[in-house]
Amino acid sequence: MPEQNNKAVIDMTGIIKRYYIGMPNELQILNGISLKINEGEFVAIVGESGSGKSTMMNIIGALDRPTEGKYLFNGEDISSLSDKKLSLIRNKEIGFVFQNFNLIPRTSAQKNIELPMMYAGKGRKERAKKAMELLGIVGMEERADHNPNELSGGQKQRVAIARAMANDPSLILADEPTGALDTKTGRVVMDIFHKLHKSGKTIVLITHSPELAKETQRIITISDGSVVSDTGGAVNENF
Amino acid sequence: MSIWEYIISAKRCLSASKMRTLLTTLGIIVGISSVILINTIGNSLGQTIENVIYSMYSGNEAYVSIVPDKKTNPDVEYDELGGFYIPENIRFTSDMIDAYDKQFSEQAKRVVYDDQVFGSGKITISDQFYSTVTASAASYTLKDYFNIKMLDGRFISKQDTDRYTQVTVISDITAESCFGDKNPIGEQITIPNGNGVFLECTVIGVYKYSEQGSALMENDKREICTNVYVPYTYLFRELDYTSQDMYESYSIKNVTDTEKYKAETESFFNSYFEGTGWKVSVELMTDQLDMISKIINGITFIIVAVAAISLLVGGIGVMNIMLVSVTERTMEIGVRKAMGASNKSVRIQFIVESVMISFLGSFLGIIIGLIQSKLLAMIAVRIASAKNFNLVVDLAVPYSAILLSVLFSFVIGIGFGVYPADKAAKMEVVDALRYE
Repeated sequence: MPEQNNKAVIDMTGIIKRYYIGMPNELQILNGISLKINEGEFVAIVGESGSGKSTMMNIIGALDRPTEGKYLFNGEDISSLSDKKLSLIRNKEIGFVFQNFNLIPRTSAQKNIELPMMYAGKGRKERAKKAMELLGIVGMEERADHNPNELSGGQKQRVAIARAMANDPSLILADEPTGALDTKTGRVVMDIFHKLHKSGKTIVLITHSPELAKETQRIITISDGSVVSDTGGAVNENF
Repeated sequence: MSIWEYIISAKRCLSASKMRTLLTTLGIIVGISSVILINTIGNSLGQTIENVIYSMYSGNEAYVSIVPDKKTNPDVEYDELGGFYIPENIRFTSDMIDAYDKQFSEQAKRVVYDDQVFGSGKITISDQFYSTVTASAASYTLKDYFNIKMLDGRFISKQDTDRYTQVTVISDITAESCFGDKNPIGEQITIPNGNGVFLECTVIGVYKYSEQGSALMENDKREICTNVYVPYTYLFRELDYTSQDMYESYSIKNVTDTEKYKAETESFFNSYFEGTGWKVSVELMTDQLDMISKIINGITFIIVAVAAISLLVGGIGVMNIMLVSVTERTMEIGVRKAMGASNKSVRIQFIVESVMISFLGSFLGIIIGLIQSKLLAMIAVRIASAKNFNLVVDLAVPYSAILLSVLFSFVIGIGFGVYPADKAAKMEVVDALRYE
């Protein structure tokens, strides 16, 4: 068991998510998940397709709100915040890495990385400096002016990781980050995550691949909307 | 995020698909340019007509005439031309007019029967020497009023009109046609005046004929119809012309408040006609000019309104493209929201884009509209000069129309951008990210 910092970044209690509420086809995707992830952890959330892990990711990433339950992010209850406040959390506290990279088209790598900083209201010079610094970390300095369509898949994902770190978030949330990449470039991307983890970042990796999950410190397996196994020790005591 | 950053970002986005942006603005370009063009034509036409009228008269003018007072005198019979018979006892008397001249000498100068032309005909000296003329009733004030330039001799004086002298002032063209190189001063001529009336007059002066319009097309100088001026008192006596007493004409000077002048003049004369069932009406030339410009403005307004409809169509085109753009960029909207864009900033982003499209359209529309106006003016002048007509087109840049167009396009940009922008802003981030 690696050394744990006791400060919880994510602290979920009894998270339930239902769709089509009040309609005949009402659907419950998450059945009361409780989960605690501490600062500095590198966690993999694994599950079959349809297990509810994407819904889980949406809630963790403040993209969606739980129907029931309590979600403390850095100690702050965000389970029923307004859209505006959620967008602030996403902007400052969470860095997203998507399977399909999701870089803004026709916009240079540097400008893509600057985007979260722009929404955070940072000045032009500060943004450019930070973007170049982040490009350095992912080894993409010389591609700063390239548009996404001029980059390979691996390069795009490296830019996306740099973008995720733009506002120094408390959490990096990666959804199948190597899913669209070949093994070799996938390796490069994973190495970057390890590097970031070593530098103290909290990373949640959502994947269906057991191989990738094994590289992390802790594997949380979700099936049919419930946590079926958790190799780590940070399970909420209240559960 | 500052508005400047939204603008830069919108500029990047619009220039990424230049052709589409340009086609989107097309409706607005056509709308704005036609509004500018029609406005310019209307303004220039009004200005040109005004200038033509002003160039015919040296200043403003007031016509003072006797008309029936409809309230107390409803039984007056009108002929088919709107004319009516005024009883013998209802007339301007010389006492009235002298009193008026005295009291209003600062504001108005009596012109007396200017431009009252009578029948035209030919002055014939011999088979070779003749001239086409129109007899014109003149007073001494006419010279300054029409800015008549004397080449030889003198113009009609006050004494001439007071004494009914049989004299005349002819044009240089008539002088040459009738007398060749001979000095015409002191020569006797017979001036035909229609209805078999002939006036026997002695030539006392020659004025310079100012060439105008169709006269230039006449090759034979003898056929050019010019005025011969005859003292009005003499002319009217010979013609047995009585309406002189019903109609006076004044050249107005030093009058800033024409409405006040009009009211004062009317009340001055009306005091003489009280209780007769007749009153005095003052008609100002500016009133007529106002009426002409009102008609032109009215027509211009209607056509501009029609052109503005194409602006509306252009606006709908902008909305259409913005809606397509929002759908196309659903994923981008999702990503932006995931990166921390609030609904508000997504909304602003799309509104800024549609306002920029509209501004671009109005900018190009203004330029094209001005170029069109300029070309049209050039063509009009060329056609006119080919027909020997000296047309001066005052191409006024319609600043008000430009300002209005820019404002209107701003409103269109916002008005038609709100719905697509709202659609983008209200997208659920989870759905947007999942959109394919």
